Amino acid sequence: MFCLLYNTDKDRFTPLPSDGGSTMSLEPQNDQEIQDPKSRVRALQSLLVEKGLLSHEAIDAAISAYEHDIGPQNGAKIVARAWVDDDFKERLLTDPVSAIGEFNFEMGSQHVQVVENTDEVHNVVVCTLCSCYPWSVLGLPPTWYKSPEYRARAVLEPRSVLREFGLDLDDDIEVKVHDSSADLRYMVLPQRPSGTESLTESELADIVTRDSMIGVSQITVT
Amino acid sequence: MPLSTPTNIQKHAEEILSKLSNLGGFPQTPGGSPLFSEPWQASIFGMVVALHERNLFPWNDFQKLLIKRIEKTDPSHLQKETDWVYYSLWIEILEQILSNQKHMEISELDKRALEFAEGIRDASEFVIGGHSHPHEGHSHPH
Repeated sequence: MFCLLYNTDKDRFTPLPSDGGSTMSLEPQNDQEIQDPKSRVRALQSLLVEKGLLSHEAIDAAISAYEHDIGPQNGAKIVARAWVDDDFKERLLTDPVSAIGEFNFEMGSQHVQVVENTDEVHNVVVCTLCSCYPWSVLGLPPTWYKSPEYRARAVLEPRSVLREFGLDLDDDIEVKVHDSSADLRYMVLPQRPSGTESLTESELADIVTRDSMIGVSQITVT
Repeated sequence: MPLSTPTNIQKHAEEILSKLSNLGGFPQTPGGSPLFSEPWQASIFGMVVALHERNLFPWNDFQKLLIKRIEKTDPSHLQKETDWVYYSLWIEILEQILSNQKHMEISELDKRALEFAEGIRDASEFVIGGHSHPHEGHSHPH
């Protein structure tokens, strides 16, 4: 698995020509747009249940799991433990599947690799091909993560992207961009902010944000 | 297109970017945002996940079809209506898988979708516990 390395001020971004809009109509239109997705989805559900392939309960259970149980709160618990327990952190970085398995999360078959932010290195996660994301620990990706703009610009000009997220990194910090795939998904272990020495593991989990685990922000305490 | 090297990824990213006319930045939702912008998106997500959990298809098969389909999609369209387009692709792919596996015909789906669109059928058939009392008799998991 590769990982793109970017050193200081190496963003290579060529601004689009100003007439970019006029060329859009020349693009091949491969989209066969689904005009009425609501009816289409209802037809699918109706037929799947009628044919005994699924129950309504199974569909509701799958949605509910992601709405209530599987989300960035799981990743936050992992990060908080890594902050307070060095042995756990070591296991998390070297054998993430087994370390994450110490929690009772619904893990599925995803292989998650954890990359650590330090004073020298800042990690950012992207999926250039589609939307690969560590669902089991972060839930479903935010809309911007799936957007072509993020998928392209996070690779081409990560520092600019980070600045737009409000994160202006010093030039001497190396930015590493990790491209997720269906086989390997990345999660960032953010740095523990100063001023949190007195917090418990559970209190620490509360300050860990989703965006910090994707790598587009750092955690600060006020 | 196999993306085995950083150069290929770079090229792929440049290609995507060249097709985007308006760069709108990234709306930040640090506290999280709704997972789905419309209920049908939750439904298609739930069906795909539940069918995968029942081993109807390996996740990588779905993912490969999704990657191919995203490649063919106009990035500016996906940029503008990200969730809408993204989950529409999920519908297409699930239909393709079900049809390839001979579980249902696309024509059957077309007919059923029309019945929903025209109001001959409605969502009350999805309410757990019965057709006629949509607010009663919930949740008796098998």
